[in-house]
Amino acid sequence: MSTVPADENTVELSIPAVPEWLALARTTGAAVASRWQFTYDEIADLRLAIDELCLTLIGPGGAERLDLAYSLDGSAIVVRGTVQPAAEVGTADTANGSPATAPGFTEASELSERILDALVDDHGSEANGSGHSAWLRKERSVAVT
Amino acid sequence: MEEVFEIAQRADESTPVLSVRGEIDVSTAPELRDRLLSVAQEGYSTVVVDLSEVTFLDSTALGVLVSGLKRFRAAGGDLRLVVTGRSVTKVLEITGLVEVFPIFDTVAGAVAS
Repeated sequence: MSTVPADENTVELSIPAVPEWLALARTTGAAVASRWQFTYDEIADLRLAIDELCLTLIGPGGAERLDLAYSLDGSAIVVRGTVQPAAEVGTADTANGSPATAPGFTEASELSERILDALVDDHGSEANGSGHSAWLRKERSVAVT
Repeated sequence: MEEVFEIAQRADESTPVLSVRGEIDVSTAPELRDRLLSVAQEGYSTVVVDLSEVTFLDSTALGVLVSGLKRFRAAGGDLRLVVTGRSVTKVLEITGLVEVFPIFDTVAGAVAS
C-alpha cells in the first residue's frame, strides 16, 4: 500500500438535492474510500452512512443543490454535505422562518441517528450561514504506510 | 451506475410474496410502499417481503417496512421478512428492528410460518 498523495486527499461533488441523485453521493463515497484503502466492510458502512447524512439534508426539501466534500484527514475520511435554501439563490423568503429552526431540518430521523451512531466515529450537523451542513467522520482501521 | 430495482409478486402462494431486487433507498422505497398497500387492499392480512436480493437498504426503506408491519398487524396478520444478505442483516441489527420483524432464511419458511 502507498501513501495517498496530498493533492488527492479531497474530492468534491455537487448534485441536485433530490432523492434520485443520492446513489451517486454514496457511490462516489465508496469509490473515494476504496482509493484511500478503506476495507470492504468500512466502505459498506460508509455507503449507508453517507446516504443517511444526505437524507438529513434533503429531507425537508427546499434546497436546489447538495454539495459534498470527501476529505482524508489523517487516517479518517470526513464527509461534509451542505445545502443552501433555494430562496437564497434569488430573493430571500423567510415567510416560513429560519431554516435553522425549521422542524426536522437539522434533526435526523431516529433511525438515521441510530445508523449513523453505529457506523461512524462521529457525526453532526450545523447551520452554515444561510444553509446547513452535516458531516461524518470514520477512521480507517488499517494503517497506510 | 444505478442498479436495477424491481419488485416481483409471486401469485402462486396463499400468502403473497414480494421479492425485491436492488437498492431500496429514498427514491425507490415509495414503490415498495405502494406495493405493500396494494397487497393490503387486495384483502391479504399477511405478506412476505423477500429481501434476499436487496443490496442496499436505508432508513427510508426501514420506515416503509415498519409502516407496513403496523398495517398488517392491525389487520390481524403480519409482515415477514426473508433476509440472507449481510448488509441488510446489519442495518436491521443496528436499528434494533431485528427484534421487531419476523425474519426467515427462506421464502418457504416465511410462507409456512
